[in-house]
Amino acid sequence: MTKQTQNEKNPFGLPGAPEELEISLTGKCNLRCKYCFYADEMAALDDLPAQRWQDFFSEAGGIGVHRLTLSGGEVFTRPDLFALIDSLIENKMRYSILTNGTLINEKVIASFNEGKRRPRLDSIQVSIDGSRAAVHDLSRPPASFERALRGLRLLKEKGFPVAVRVTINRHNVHDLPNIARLLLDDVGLNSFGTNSADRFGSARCYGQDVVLTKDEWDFAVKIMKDLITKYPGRINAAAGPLAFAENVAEIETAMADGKTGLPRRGKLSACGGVFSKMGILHDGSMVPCNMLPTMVMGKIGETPLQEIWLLGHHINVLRKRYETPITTIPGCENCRFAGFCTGGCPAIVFAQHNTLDAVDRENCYKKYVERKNVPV
Amino acid sequence: MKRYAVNPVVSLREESGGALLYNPDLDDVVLINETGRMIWETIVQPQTATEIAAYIEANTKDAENVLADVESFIESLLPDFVILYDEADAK
Repeated sequence: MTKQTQNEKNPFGLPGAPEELEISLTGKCNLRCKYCFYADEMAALDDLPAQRWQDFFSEAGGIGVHRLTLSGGEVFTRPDLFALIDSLIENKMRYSILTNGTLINEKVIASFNEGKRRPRLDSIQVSIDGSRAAVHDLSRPPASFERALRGLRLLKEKGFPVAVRVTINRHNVHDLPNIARLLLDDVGLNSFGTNSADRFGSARCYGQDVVLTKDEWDFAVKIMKDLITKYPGRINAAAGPLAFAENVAEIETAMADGKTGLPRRGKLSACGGVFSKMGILHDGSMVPCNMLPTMVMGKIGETPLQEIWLLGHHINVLRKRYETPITTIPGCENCRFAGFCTGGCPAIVFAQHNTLDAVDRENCYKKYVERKNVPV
Repeated sequence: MKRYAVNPVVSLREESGGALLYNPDLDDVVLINETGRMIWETIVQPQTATEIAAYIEANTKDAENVLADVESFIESLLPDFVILYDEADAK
């Protein structure tokens, strides 16, 4: 293919390769976090050998994929991790790492100093879910907090592009101000990100322990609004209570201006990931997103990545979904807020309803307003 | 004599109407059109601007006197996307 236009070989007029691939390199993990969305896949699938990944990296770089996000499981359990990093570097890509931080030590830090491993690293994200062990370790094995914090401090001290993700859950919802203080004031991060536990993987079993109740969700929204006032520009979110709070503020500002909708809303248009990214599970299964692990479109090394990217059934269903009006969804036909709605994360929708033709009922502005009894 | 070749760290991604060049060391991109892409494919091995222009003229309808355009295009991609070799390098 020499020219990308909208035709039967490229129905969405996309670039010839995803910008980024989210790759679960391993199903092995030294922890068992209670909200891990990947837990079922970790138990059910086998890791691929390094050579399969190296061949795939050659294919991905060859069609112009720019960056890989490496996750698991826990990537630092792979003894050949740095050989795989060298392979993606050789194949003209950059990378990021998602880690629980507990296996990061001086030896690991030193390994990053070889070749282009450090300059090609965009970010290394550590999960921190509490300001102290008594909170953080409620979602995972004992002593995890001290090890994760040690790894985080080491990365920060050595000048790595370190990031932190706080998964807001029932155990830490009352600890959020302390977590912000730890990360921003004590450790000295420029910023950190938040999301929330949802009913995927482990959280399907431990949901009642970790997934926020409605009251806790509303409390978290309030706390996060206070925290972003205290730390302007230093706490962000693509999902969870803070993202919801920001969405609520945007909607209410627009309504105060007399608007009945916002640009690119009113359709099932949440998360543009399927137009720039794809996921690969640790057994080589190609999926639209690692949070949609049952939507397998092929295996690496068996079907060309470019073919799956442009023509994969499940990813194109998700792309077509963007044109679905919210008002065609049962229960949303007469919603006066439909023009402000995107339907929510498709993976959460699928987990809730086992179909993509639905909206995220937990993050619904209308329900929030009804719950809060706010006059609109 | 100046010869030009692709910077070996740079990747190419197909885009509507051309291609996107990406230098992962700099995390920088350049969008090129179809003719630019044709030039890019000729300099997988080092070529002089005259050799590149001759190739373009031979493979493009109504293309005449493209040397100046080729030189301008190549110069715009130096040094991050295209590497310059000269006689001194060869020796």
